[in-house]
Amino acid sequence: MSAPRPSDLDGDAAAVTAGVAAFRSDVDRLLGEIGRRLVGQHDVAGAVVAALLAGGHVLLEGVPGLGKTLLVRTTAAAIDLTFSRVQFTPDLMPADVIGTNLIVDDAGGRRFEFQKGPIFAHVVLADEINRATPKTQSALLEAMQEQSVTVGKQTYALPPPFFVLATQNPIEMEGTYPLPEAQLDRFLFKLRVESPTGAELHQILDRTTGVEGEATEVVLGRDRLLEMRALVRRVPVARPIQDFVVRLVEATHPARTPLGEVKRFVRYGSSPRGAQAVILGAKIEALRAGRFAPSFADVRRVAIPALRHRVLLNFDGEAEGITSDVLVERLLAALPEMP
Amino acid sequence: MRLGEIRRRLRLQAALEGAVRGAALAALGLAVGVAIARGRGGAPPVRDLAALMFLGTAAGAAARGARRITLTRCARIADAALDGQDRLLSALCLDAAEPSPFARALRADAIRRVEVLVPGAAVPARRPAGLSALGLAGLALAAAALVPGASHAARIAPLAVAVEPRRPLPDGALDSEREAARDAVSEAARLGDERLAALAGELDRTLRRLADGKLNDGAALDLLRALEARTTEAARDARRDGLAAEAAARALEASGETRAAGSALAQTGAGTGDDARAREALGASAAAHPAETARALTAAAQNLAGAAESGGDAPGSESKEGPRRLEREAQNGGSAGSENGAPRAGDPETRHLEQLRRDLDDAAAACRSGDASCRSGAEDRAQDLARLGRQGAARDALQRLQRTAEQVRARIGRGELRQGDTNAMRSFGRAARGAEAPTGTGSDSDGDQTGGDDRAGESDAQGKSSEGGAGARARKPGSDEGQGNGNGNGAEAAAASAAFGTEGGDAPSREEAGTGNGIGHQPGGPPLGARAAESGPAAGSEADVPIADGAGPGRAEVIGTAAGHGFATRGYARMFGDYAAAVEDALGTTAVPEGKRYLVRRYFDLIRPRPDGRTSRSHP
Repeated sequence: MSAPRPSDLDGDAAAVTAGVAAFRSDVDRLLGEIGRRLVGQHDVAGAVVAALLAGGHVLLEGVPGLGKTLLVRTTAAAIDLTFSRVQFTPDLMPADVIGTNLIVDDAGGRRFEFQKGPIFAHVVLADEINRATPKTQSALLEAMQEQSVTVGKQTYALPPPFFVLATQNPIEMEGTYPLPEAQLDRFLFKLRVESPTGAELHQILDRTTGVEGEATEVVLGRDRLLEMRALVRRVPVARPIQDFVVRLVEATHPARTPLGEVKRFVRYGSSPRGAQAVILGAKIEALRAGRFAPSFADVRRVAIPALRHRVLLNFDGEAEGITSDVLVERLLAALPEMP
Repeated sequence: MRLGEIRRRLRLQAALEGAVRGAALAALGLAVGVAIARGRGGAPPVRDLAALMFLGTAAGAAARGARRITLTRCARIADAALDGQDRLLSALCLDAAEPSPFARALRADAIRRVEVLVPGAAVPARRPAGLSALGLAGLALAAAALVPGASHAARIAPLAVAVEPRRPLPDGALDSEREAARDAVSEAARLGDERLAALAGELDRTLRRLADGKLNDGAALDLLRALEARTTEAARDARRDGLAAEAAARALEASGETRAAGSALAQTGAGTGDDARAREALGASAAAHPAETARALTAAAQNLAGAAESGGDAPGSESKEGPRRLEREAQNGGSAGSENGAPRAGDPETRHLEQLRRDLDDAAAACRSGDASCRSGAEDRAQDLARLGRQGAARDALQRLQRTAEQVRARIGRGELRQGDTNAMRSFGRAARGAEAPTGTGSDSDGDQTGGDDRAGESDAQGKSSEGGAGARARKPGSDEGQGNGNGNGAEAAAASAAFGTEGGDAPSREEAGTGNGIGHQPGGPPLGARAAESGPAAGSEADVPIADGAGPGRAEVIGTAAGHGFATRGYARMFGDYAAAVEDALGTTAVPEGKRYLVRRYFDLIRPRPDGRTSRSHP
């Protein structure tokens, strides 16, 4: 390999370099703006932004009051996106989420007119999604996958970027409808929101019990967000790193894993969506670091949120108190980066 | 580019590591070679050693240094030295595969970063792996070259413990035993005793196979031990049969009318009689004098039952309790012990005798009631009693057979049958017979025994054994008896006295006098060694004279003493029983190879207690 100087870069390469730098700067600004409103939860905020940039959806798991809604609302506000929140309850119907046809009586006579539901927003917060019936959950998850909803014979496209952030409470499981595995797979990441530390709690109290602070500033436009999404897709991945991701995802399957614990405790391993999620997350990590290609470290960083809800434990695993996080960590420790 | 430099450094490190490992392997191989050469008496040439070491080192370096080192590996090492973000790896992989703007930017970024990379930092000099192995191999080589080894001639051949091969015994080695077996066969034919015939035949076959080398010593020991046990049991049964038959014959002889039959039966029991004559005589008596014959038969039944019940210990007992007890035991399955030859209820022989007693009673009842079957019943019973007598007559032959089996077993154990062991066994046998044992003729006249209290004969059970206490040994001369406090019973005291006297020669000094309190069990012998002077050569080596404080020799002392006295001490005999039982138990429950089993048994045969013939237990 010869040694061209940076000045030898052609125009496209220079544009890429500039684009990566701008990407990094914009993400930093966005996270800074979110951090200005949200105390702590830096990893969660980074992952949410990464999912937004990757075009995926996020399942947040945590007890109430940890700032999940604030995170989503602030993110939407900082990117100048429309935001809606749906509180899922057992009596919530699909039409309450996606909308319904109403009879409109005007000068032209009576006609049906589609009344859009709250899903027609750029950022949708599906709060406590596991409290709704599977029928309603399905309506939302279909929209997540197809980026459109169909009512009657009419299909309505959802406005891009469409980003769903669903939450579920891990404690109150009574009267809930846990999401089926197929629907869990639709989420790019599953994030766990932890309780704030003492110092963070001080900051929360300072910010929320005094005079109301300044409103969230718009730091990104919707178009810029779409440009950034496009840039993410252009990031190349070296074959050894992609190979590592493939081996990692394969190793989550009991039949193909080299790890005994996976054989013993796992019922199903990750789907290919898991590998996609890891690669996309690694790309965004690389761009956020100002690099042009993901590294093994990027893969390791995003592997757990991308795979934890895709590795399904069997009865033994549940009984032994094993978590999928632990298994993915063990796999990351056991698998060589390059065979 | 820097990756090339990294690759060169990696190759150099690999070559160095290969050289170290090659040298270690070469040193190890040379150590083995040098050790072998020195063991054969040769001296390894130094120049050759050096050349071999060099060759090994060079080969190792070449083998490891020639291995392919990929650029990908170099890139990973460089990435690790930079920021660990795999920039060089990605650039390297994407440079050829994807000439996109991103790839070009990535390549430019990687080049910019690698330019500041110092190859020495990426591949730092480090101690090659395998140095410790090289050190150990060097030590081994030095040890092999420098440590003086034993010469070939100085080596001691390891003691081989091998199973003796099967080979024919020397001619005539078992002649006497085989002759005894053949005699037993003849005796069995004469007496018509199938049991004796079977046992004798089996012994003869075993001896023949042993003599022909078709049976190894271990198997022969097992067979002989089993045969000995069966013969012993048969002899015991024969003794009971004989005593029972004699008792019945005596009862018949006691009556004038049946005396002829009784005499005929008595001769049959002695092995000289004639069944037909006994049958005829008793039949005639029954026909002529049924009432008297009935009484005689009843008496015979009682005598037979009594003899059978006592197991022969009290022959001739006419206790009326006998038949009832025999019946009771037969019915209950009896818990009566079989020790000492006592009958065991339920065993075939006891059942047979009980049946015979009932038959005698039935015949007596028939005669008493004037039944027509009186005569025939009496004749049949005479036949039965004659048969019983013949079985009893085989007891001596059975005992001889048992002794023969025991003798062969002992000879095998001592290895006498094998020519190669004869010499070794001869010396051991001499020791075992006590040839070196002191034969003191010590006079107790100078002993200061008084023994007066002992002769008083007050019995005290303490210390019949040699473990009884310090000073129990007669060869520890002194005033055991003299200071006796009179707790002993006369027998033991007498023994002590005699032994004390005879062992005087074994005691060079009276200062060794023990301080034990002599305890006897019988009236003591002549005091002050008067009797010892008569007893001549010391045959005794042991006197179970305990002392009051209870201290006694340990097992080690007992064994040590016994070994010095031809394994002929009584305490040793008891102790040997414990060990032998444990060994048999272990051999019976453990998978021990046949050769080892034979060795163990042979050893125990060699050290088995000898007959107490030499031990002076002379009583006054």
